[in-house]
Amino acid sequence: MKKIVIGFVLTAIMVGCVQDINDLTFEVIKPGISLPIGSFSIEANSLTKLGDSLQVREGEFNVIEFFYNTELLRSPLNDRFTIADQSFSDAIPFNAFVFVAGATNEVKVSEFNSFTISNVDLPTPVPEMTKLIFKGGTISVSQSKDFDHNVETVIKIPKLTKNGVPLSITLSNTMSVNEPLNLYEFDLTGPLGTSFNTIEYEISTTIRNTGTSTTGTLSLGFDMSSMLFSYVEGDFQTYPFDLFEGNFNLGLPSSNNIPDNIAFTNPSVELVIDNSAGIEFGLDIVEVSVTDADGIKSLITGTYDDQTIILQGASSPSTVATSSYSISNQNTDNFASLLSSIPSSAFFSGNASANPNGIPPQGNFITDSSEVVINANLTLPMEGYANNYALIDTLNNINLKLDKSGKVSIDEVNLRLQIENNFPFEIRTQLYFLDSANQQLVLDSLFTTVDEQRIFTSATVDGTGLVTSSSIETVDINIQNEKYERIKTTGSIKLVVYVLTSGANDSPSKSVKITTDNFLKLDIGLSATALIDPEKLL
Amino acid sequence: MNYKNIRYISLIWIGLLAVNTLYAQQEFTLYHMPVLSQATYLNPAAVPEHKVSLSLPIPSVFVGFNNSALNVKAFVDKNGNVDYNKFVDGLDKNNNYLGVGANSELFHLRVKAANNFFSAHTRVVNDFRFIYPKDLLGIGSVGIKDGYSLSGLGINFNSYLEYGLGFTRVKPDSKWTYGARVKMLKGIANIQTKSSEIELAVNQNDIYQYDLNTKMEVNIAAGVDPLQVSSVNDISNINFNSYNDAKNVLKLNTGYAVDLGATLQFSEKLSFGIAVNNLGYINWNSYVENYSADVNLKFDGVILENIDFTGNIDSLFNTQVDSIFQSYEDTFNSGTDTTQIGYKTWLPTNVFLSAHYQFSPSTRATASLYTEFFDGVSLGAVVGINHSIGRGFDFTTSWWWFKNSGANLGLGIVFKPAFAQFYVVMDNVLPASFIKVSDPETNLSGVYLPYEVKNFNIRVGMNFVFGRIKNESRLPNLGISKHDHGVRRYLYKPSLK
Repeated sequence: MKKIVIGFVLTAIMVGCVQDINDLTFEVIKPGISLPIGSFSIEANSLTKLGDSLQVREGEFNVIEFFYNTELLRSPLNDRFTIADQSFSDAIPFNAFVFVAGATNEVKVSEFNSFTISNVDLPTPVPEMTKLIFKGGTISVSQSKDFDHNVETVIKIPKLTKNGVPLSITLSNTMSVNEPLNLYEFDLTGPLGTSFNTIEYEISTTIRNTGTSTTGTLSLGFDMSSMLFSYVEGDFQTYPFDLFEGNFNLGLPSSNNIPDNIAFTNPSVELVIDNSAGIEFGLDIVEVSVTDADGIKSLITGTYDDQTIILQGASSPSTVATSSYSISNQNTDNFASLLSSIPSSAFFSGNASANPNGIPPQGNFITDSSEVVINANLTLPMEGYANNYALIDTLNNINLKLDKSGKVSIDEVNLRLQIENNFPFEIRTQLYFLDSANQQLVLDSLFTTVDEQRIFTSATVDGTGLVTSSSIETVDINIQNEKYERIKTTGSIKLVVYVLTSGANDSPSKSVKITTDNFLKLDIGLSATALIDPEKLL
Repeated sequence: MNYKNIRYISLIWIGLLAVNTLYAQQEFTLYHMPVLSQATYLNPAAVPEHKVSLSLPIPSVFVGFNNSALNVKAFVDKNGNVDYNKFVDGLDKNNNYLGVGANSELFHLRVKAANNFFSAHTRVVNDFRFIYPKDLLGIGSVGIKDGYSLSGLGINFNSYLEYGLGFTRVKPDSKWTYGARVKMLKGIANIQTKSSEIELAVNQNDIYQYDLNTKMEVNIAAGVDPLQVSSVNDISNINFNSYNDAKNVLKLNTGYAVDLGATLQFSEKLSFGIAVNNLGYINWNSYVENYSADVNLKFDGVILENIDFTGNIDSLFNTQVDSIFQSYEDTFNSGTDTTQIGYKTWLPTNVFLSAHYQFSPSTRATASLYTEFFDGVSLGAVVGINHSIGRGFDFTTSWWWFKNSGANLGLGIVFKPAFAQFYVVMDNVLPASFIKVSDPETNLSGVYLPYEVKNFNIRVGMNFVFGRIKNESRLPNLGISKHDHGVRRYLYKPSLK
């Protein structure tokens, strides 16, 4: 029995014997995780502003348009219309003084006469004024005589009224009187077939028998000077106004030129002209030019300046007539290319003449607030092409090490992108991993082929450049351990994004249109497997 | 019941909790030690060596740990390859466990009357089992790539007081010895994970969206109000000044169980035995909470539609994340029901089928098949030898295997000076084999590690025993020797004297 017990114990001890292991070999473990990152969408209609000045609106076919409004020039008209100082005289001769016997013993003479203004600013053709309202100027009336009797003269200008009261000036013997014309209203229509530019006046002279002269002449002088008007009415004929011109800042968002491989192919400027004068103008553009950030001035050439632009006249003093005129690819040779240089300023000049289509039935008028205002509305539709347009950025302070000690590495990372692209362009992306020391040495790039770089393919586009259907695809961006080991010491990543619109490679490049309906939907998932050496964890 | 005793019991229970508890812990070596009265916990038909056995005031304390998968062998092969992946591969898909626990016999008394033994005992039993699926640990090996399953994840915890009355009949001249024990159980606390389905599907054909389906049923009950007892200090501060105080504070949950055993003396040296233990249940009705969750959560990532780049995208992203978590919380809350309906838990019933061979009056060998019915059926096998040296020492060794645990060597020692009976029983004193590991790269130098052990337990205690039963009366082969002298009074067993 003892032998059995001893045998049993020995067996147990043998089972429990000790085996030496002098070196442990640790198998790596590769835990992984698959994780949905999320869904993101960008819609073109959410773009409401670009930079500080370019606004966004929806144009024809829902094409997105950037637009920018600026006042090209503001030109008051009243100061541009002047009437030169006017002078005229009259004389009443007396061949014999016949004093009427009686208490007064005097001679009375009355006369009605008129004067026609003939030199309104430019002599030919003479604007035919029918009504003036003064806001400045003076009328001077003087009297002289060559006889020794006392004389008193009353001069009336019946159509020059102030508050309804005609101007009346009384002169005694030799003297002159100045009367300010402010607030006087002058009806220049005459009674004798002259319906404009006519100044009528009455002279009533009384000579008293206080001298010895037997004959004489009474002379009267009229001077109207420094005349300013708050209202002028009449027929301005083809009165030429001074040159309209102005230099203005465009206020575009960037001073960087758009590179040659990107173009907006359908920009336009609409000139919107507000005219508060009762005169239709014919505007002849003399020059439109732009100046880039380097100060280089370029003329916009084409047929846009071949025709006279008609600016409608206001129908009444309190109204404004608006006219417009477009400058675009249709009437220029180089407008699109010049705009691509993102000019900093533009220059406009032009001449305007009155009544290019003849005199309107209601005539013309100018008030002291009449002006011509020209606004330039720059419209930049998202229509054009980009041929491998590159956006480059460098992301610094990148640390791809999962832990400082290097205990955990990456076995594989798969970034899955599910893309629905409704934009008419494809996007290619490349990432260059730069060394952390001097950021000059490229450790590796994310992709090796162009096809791999093409993350978003373009939507399908019709002949007009509009998107007809989205592109839908799944892209897996895979990084294996070998690549990770090469790039994990990177300190910065140079990101290069290429944009290529559909048909941009054709000759000539086709334009596409970006509309408010365009969108990009991006679903992102991540699957990663770590590489852990348990021995390093111990 | 003595109120001080109740508090004493409570304190012991908390103390045992502090060292963790055990769920359906097995004791294989003890089964082969009929010299100890505690062996009758595993076989009510066991016949002890003494007429009277008493444990008071020093209890018999058992603590143990077992698990289904964790051991050195699972990670390290004999060539020194450490492979966590292999360990994970070896796990069961849904049913792996860590069990810890303890039970403490507060009192027992076993006395012989004629050819019968009558016993009474009180003990507190604490079992804890954490059940985990393969993917719980697989996250460190495989991670969450194609899917993730935590189905089967759960906690089962059982703590109860056991009051037992036992009877063993050793009928002279009969092949049979049989015994039974009736137990009244008083449940102190229970956590039951009734069902657990947690499945995460990852859509590999898309952007790895998650679809999480969770269905869980968890029952919790307690014998004291959890709102009033949230820490150990709270329990230790409980004072019972009257029976009503105790009645108001302690609302223990009642259950019943029986242990059954029988031995068939097949020949003068060979006998067969069967023991069925813990056939019973506890009805949990006090402070019950039933949690039921049926929740489906989908995670598609953060959704940012129509991004306005003039806005703060970081802020948008964070707002979205907050919104997602809030919606998940709302969904989870709406999919979770809480009720207060009583429930029943069954004890982990175990069965020993044994063959005993009495080599000599002082040496006996036993081979057993062990079956455990809890959360399925688990099988084990054990071979043990018990050898007595004089009246003062008793040695038992067992070599056992249970549920992929590998072979384990157990040892039990009983030392009996005078009326005291000191004992130590361990099931893994020499756990199959050791490896001695040295590895310069990890600064390991001659570290001994048990290679296959998945279990460890120890029982210690002291009994007072009186009235040794003579071998001639107790052992059938000796009784039969009288038959050889022509007096056929005992076919297999004499009367116990």
